[in-house]
Amino acid sequence: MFKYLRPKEQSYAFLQDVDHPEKNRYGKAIETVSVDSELRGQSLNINGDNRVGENPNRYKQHGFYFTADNCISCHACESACSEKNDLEPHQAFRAVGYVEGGRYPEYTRLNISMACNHCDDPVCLKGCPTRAYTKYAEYGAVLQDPEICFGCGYCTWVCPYNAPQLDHSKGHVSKCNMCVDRLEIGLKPACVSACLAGALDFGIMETTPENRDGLDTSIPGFPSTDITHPNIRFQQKNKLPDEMSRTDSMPVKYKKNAKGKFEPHVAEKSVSGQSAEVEWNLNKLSTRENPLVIFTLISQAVVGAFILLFIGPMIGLETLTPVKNTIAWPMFLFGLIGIQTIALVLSTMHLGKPHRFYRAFNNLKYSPVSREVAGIAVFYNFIGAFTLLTGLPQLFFWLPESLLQLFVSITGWGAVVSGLAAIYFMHKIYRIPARPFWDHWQVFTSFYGNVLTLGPLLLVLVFAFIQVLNNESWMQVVPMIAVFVFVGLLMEGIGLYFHKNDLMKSGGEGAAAYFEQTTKFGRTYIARNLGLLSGLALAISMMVIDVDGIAAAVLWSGAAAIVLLTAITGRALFYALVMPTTMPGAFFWRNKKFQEHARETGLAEMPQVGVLPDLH
Amino acid sequence: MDKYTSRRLSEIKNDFERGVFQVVYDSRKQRWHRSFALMVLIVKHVSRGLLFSWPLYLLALAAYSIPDTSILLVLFLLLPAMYVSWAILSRGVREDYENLVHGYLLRTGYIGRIIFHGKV
Repeated sequence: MFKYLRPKEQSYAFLQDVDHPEKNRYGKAIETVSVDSELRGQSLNINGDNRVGENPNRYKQHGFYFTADNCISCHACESACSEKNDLEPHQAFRAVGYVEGGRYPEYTRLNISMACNHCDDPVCLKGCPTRAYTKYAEYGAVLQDPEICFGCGYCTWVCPYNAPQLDHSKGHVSKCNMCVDRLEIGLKPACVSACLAGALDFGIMETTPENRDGLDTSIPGFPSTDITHPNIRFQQKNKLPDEMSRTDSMPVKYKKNAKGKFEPHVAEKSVSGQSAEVEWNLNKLSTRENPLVIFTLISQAVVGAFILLFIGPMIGLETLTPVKNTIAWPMFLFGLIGIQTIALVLSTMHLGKPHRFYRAFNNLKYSPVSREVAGIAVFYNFIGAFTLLTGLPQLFFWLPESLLQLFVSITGWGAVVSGLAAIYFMHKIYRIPARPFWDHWQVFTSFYGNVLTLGPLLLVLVFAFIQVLNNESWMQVVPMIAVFVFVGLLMEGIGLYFHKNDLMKSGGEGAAAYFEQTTKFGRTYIARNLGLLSGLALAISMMVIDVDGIAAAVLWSGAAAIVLLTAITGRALFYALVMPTTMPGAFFWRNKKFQEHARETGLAEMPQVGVLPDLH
Repeated sequence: MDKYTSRRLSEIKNDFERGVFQVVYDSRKQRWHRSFALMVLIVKHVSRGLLFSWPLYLLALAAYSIPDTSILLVLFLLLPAMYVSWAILSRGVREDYENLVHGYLLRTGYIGRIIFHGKV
């Protein structure tokens, strides 16, 4: 053993060497690597110390054990963790939240202390585009390196337990490291050693710590274990009411089912019994993800516009050929590059550490973020090359015509394929089981619907403007473009209809998000739906009514404005409404409503409140 | 520590060792190595930046290639592009310099380490 132990270390702080089964309940071996694995015998190099820990159970999956009956919510575990990891007041690798139920005098409160569960199937590791996460053979710990992270926060989206913490002031994520330095010298993590009430324990998985006999995988408020196979076991034997409520602002409560397990349901009334009112809340549509609202919409519009411009002449839209538009053609292409550039700059600057942007490609094997970024980067380069070849052909006078046409064809088709692939991976980013409101095929219909709607609208507005200036009719393209717009809006509408039905059926956080959509953002939601219907009606009228000139330009501009506003509102709702399947917060801590209140009233200016003053 | 660099000054506790380190660190050879490393980092980051952002500069080129274009339009497109590039690249160079060069004694082969970010 290392010689760093304090002379009077208490016995309860030491890890126990106990027998364990070969596999855990998910069928995974407790022994993290085979006896002859080359991963054995390596140093964790903690603080530059290259010695190898002598813990005899170094290569066994460890995890936390939580006895909820014993937890008194003293927050000693949180304090010990913060002290050990030198955390800022707004950060907590471990947090204590609670759910409550019953009425006085039979009021019951269930406290839950939660940190990273060092899962068997860590979704943070697969989702991280920079490969900042590693699941170590040593103790099965999932460790994250803030020096690799570029602060996109995707791991905080995919983790069902709110374990990774995005520190907006530092621009990177960090999380519980299982106190591997303590494990190396045979000590339990700091939070466990600090627990006053014997609620928190730690050890090899599927063993039963002292004074316990239960090894449940769930507890009221704990998300489904199917997503990640977390390494935490619970004991909770005290009788609980059939219904438990969260004390944070999330409209979710937990009801006991026929099997005696608690399931999440929508809490249509607040804890104090108030019903939710139908409101606009337009100011709350603005979130930290605003750059992503712009980035996704612009990317979808640019991909759609380019595809129509490129394949338009092939499907009979002769007006869109470069020969007929010697000035509009290059101008439009350069315009597409311009707005795509704005989108890319916004999404890059949205990162905690924008200068590490190139690390987005590090995890192409697993991360949809890496694949989306790669898709957009390839699309951007192809569209750039296509624009150069067709918009500035004078630069290529030295190239034989046949070769020039070949390059034009390659870059054009390359942009079409990579653009469509990028939108596919963009939609995959949001198919996250830990965010049920997003985890639906409606994201697919919405994103590709926007490709069909916004792209052609962008194209027709520019071309119509130029044709009108030239006193030429532009109506020959209108019926076909109106078809694209109509199909796009219809896709969006159908997706939204099934989204609503499926959310209502599934219940839980998804239904709660839908509930907020129809209450907190109810009027905005109705306005968005009316916009969608108006857009559909206008698209149909464009297909059948024969108008031309200024009148048509005004009508198209109106339709475009409605469709654009609908798209922006819909996308802003998409980000503002999502509710993670996260652990319950508390009245102050990890309570979205309290955080908003603290920022509005200036409380957040005091660091000890633990809320950063501004997120965006 | 790897074979291309020494320990960092901040990791050395012994006063005598720190003194020797400081003398070598301030030598003409080490200063030249650090200047060269800085240049390599600038070239590395600019090249990588251009790989992703060249269509941005294409806009300015396109504006410039149109006859009778006002120089103001070219500058309007070029200046924001250069500002964003500068903001991103300068931070990248500074971070890499801090992590890979500053406070180290550089030995033969350090260029590979700088280019491949510690993978050599």
